[in-house]
Amino acid sequence: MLWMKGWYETRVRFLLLIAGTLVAAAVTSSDSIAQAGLAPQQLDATTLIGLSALASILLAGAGIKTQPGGVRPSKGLHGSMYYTLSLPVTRSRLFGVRVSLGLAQTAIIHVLACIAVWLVRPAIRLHADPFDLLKHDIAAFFFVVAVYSLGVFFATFLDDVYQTWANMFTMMSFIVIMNRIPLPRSLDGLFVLSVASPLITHTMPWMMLAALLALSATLLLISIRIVHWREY
Amino acid sequence: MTDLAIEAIGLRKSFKGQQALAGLDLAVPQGSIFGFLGRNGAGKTTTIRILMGFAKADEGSARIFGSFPVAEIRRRIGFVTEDKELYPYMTVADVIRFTRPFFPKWRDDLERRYLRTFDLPPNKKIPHLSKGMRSKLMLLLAVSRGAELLILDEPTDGLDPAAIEEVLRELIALAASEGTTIFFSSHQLAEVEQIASHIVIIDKGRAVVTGTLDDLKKRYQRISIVFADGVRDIRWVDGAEHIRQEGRMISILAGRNIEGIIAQARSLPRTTVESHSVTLKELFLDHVRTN
Repeated sequence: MLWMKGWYETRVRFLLLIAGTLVAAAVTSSDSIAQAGLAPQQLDATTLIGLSALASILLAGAGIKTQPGGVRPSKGLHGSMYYTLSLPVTRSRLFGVRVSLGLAQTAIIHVLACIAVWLVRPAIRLHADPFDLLKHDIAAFFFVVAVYSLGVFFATFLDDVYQTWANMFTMMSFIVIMNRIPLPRSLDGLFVLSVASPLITHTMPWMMLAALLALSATLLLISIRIVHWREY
Repeated sequence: MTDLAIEAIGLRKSFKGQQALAGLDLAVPQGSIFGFLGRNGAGKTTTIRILMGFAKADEGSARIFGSFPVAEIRRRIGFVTEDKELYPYMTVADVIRFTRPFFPKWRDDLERRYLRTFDLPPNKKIPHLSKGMRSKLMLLLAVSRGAELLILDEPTDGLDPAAIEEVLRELIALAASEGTTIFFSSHQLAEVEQIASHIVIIDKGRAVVTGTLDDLKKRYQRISIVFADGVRDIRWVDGAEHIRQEGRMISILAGRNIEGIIAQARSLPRTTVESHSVTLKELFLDHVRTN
C-alpha cells in the first residue's frame, strides 16, 4: 500500500519526465526536424543523459512528507503526513519504500534516455562502440544515483520547491569547486562523463564509480538518520 | 500488564525556548472516555504528538499500554488529527483501501456502518469533502482499525450540532460495546461533559485538574459570599483554590475543606453565604483564567 501511495504521489511527474525524455530524443533526430522545417538542433549523449539526472532530482522524496499528487502542491499535503505517521509502520520503511520507488523510476527514465541515445546516435553523429556506450551509461547511472541521493537528503528537511533549488545550487557549487580545487579528476563525475568518458577512454572509470557509490551511500545513511531523529 | 492505556510522567517540551509542556502527568485508565482540555497553546497537540511518537519529549516519558510509542503500538491506536487532512489525490474509497491492510483487526462491519451512518460518498476526492465530512471520514478510519485506544484531536471540529450528537453517540456506543479507551481533546465543554468519564485540564503545559468527572463535580463547590458593607481583605483558610471578586461579592472555587471555608465566611459580620456545585465550564474557566 505504501508503494501505491508513492506511485500516486509521483506518477504525474514520472509520466511527464518520460514524455520529456521522449520529446528530447525526438527533437534530436535531424530527419524529423528537417521535415518539420525547423532549424537543426542536436543534443549530445551527455545532454540527453543529463535529463535523467534532472529527473532524479524531481523524483527524490523524503518518504515521510506527503508529496503533491500532481505537479502543483495541493491543499492538505503536510497535514496528511500525520496520518501516514499514525500508521503502524516504521519511519525506516516509509523512507525505504519512497526512496526505492523514486530510484526505480529514475532507473526507468535513465534506461529510456540511454535507449534514446542509441536510437538517435546517427543524428548526433555518435560513432561509438556499443560496449563503450554501455560503460558510459553505467557510469552515468552511478552519477544519477548520487544526484538522486542528494535530492533525497535535501527532501528530508526541505519542502519540494526548496529541495529542487538546494539540489541545483549544490550541483553548481560542486562544478565551481571542482574547477578551482585540484582534486583527482577520476573523482569528478562530470569530468568522467564528458571528456574522460568511456566513449573516449574505452575503460570503465572504477575510481569514480566507487566514489559516487560511497557518496550515495553516505547521503542515504545521513538521510535515514535525519528521518529517525526529526520531529514532525 | 498495566491497567493504564496512557501513562505520561513529567513530560517537558520546549520549542525555540518557548515551553510547551512543563512536567505534564497523565494517567488514562483503560476503558475510560478521557477528555483532554486546555486553551489554545496549552500543550494539547504537543502532548498528542509525543504520545503518537511524532515528537520526542525533552524530559519525562510517555507510554501507551506500557510501551513506548513505537510502530507496533500504533496498530492498537486509532488516530484523528487536528486538521483532518488526508491524501488529496485519493477518494474516500481509496483512503479506506489504503488504510485497511495495515490493520489485521480491521472491522469491515464498522466501516460499512459508518459509511452509511455518516453518509460518506466513496467516489468523492478528499479535497472535495467539507471539513465536517473529513472529520467523519477520519473517525471511520480510526474506529474501523479495531483499535483498543482512540486518540482524537478535536474530533467534532467542523461538524454541525446534529452531526456532533451523532458522533458522540457513536463514541459512547463504541466505548460501551467494545471497551475502547477514548482519549480526546476538545474545546466544546458541553460535549466533554456529555460523554467523558474522566477529564484533565491542562494549562501552560501542566495538568491543573484531573480526575473522574463525577468526583470532580462532587469535590468542587463554588462558595459565594456577599458583603453588606463592602468586601474586606480576608486571609482565607486552606482549600480556597481560586478567589474572584465581583463588586461586593467574593466567589471562591474550593476543591477541599469546603465546610471550613463556609464556616469562616459565616463567621464574618453582615455576610450572606451560598454554596453550589460547579459545571465543567466553571471549573475550566476558573483554572485557566487564574493560571
